[in-house]
Amino acid sequence: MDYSKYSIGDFFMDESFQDFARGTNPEAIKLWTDIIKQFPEKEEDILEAKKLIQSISLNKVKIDPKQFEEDETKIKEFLNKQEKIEHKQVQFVNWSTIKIAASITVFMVLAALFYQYFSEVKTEENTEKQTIAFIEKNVPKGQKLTLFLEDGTKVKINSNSTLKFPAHFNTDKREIFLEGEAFFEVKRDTSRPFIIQSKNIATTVLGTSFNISAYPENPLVKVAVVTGKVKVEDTNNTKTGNNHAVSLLPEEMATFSSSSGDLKKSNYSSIKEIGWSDGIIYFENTPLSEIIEMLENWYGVEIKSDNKVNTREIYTGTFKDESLENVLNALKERAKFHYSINNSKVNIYGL
Amino acid sequence: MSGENLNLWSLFKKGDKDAFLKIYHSNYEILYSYGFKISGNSDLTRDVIQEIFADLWEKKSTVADVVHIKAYLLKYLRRALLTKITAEKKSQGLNTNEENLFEVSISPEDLLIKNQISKEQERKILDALAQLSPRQREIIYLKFFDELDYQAIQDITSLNYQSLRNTLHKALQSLRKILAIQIIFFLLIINRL
Repeated sequence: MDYSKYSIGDFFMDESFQDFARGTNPEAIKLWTDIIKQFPEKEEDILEAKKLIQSISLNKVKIDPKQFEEDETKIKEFLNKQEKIEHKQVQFVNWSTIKIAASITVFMVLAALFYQYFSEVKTEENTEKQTIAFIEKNVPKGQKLTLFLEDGTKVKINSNSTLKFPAHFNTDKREIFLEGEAFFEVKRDTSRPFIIQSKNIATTVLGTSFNISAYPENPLVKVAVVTGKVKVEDTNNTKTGNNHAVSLLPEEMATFSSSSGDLKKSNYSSIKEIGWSDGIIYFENTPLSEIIEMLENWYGVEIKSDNKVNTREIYTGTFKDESLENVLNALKERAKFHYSINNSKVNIYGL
Repeated sequence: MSGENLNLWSLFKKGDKDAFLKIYHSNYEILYSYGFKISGNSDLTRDVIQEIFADLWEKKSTVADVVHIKAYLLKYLRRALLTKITAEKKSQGLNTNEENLFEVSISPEDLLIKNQISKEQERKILDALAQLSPRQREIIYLKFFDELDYQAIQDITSLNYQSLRNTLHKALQSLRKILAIQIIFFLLIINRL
């Protein structure tokens, strides 16, 4: 683009320029800093347009929490009333592929309970001169855990995952370690980037929401972005090509293959990658063997199938907040099996 | 982001209360801020927000598929407030031309750079904004308060792209004229921002 013909008005009207002036978007800041270098004769106009935008940029209105509580109560009361009117019809999610009528099992996640329930291991690690106390949270199969870190960042940890983080963050960065899967809503703090180390992948952000899936048994590490901007880096630099790092925007996902060392960027299906954080089990053209693994993780059970079950057959389905029985009931018709549940052991018999 | 939004919206349409409350939570602040700015009436804004959400829940199965939830709700709120205010002004025998219905007042607390400038500069900026038409102020509000893109602002205000640009451009011209003298001082001070 030839910015030498741009007037103050043109700069003012340009949406990426507006982001630059407000300093909200690192990509815009970089872009326009480069443009100023390229067109030094426009610097004065650019500065004036920038000041104009800054002078009319506005704060958010502060809302009294009491006001919000009152209004929220009203809308909840309204919903309860409506529910009675609707004769307690059972609602269930039926996406196109498999339709299952079933009752909803309600997941009550009590953060306080989890705090006592989950093992809390404090370890000490030496980093150069100072000692940092780390807290380790192990979430077993069949469970999920939501927690808030010291800086206000919200982390929802999926089953069979471990998060390790310092009791207090450094002044220059917020660094944590993940094995398994978690959904992050990172509190914005431009002075302290938030870094998540998982396998060979470092994910760096300032403040956004995104999902990371990095299970030890899965050769793929996936980082899916919902809001904001995220940088994903291969910390091993196994490949000498130029794909050690990719930048992701909303609706983009990075997939790192630990076997080939490839780091690729693509779009993703939101329900598939982060449905779990809303209580949704989703599989699409997935072999029964993998579905069984997913269910073992999700419900914390052990599933054994006899050799009459064809575990290579593929299925597609969506379940929200369903009990294990309901999921198995829906599957047994199609996959043609019987099952029995004995405590946390499930046996599947082919027909 | 719209992938997530679409998912949330379709869950709400299927009667998922959590999804509905999530939409309510994540949009309450922006809806209240915008509604209060354009109507200048806190109670009315709160009532109308409740009404539109109650309305949405009742119509959930027939409501359109929405990609940009925030813009959709802002537009809904704007229309509902407009109807209420028009009725009220009519009953008082006042002018009900849409251009004059909304006041969009901007106060010192609203200015993002309030702490970086002097009282004098602050007054000049507010004066400059006060001299714009209500529609110009509304667009500035949507653009520089909530960082909505031009497409979303077009949806909310029902202006086409060209008139939106023209309105914003006119606002810019008047701002520059009013702020011209002090912009030099201004440059020196907020250059360090």
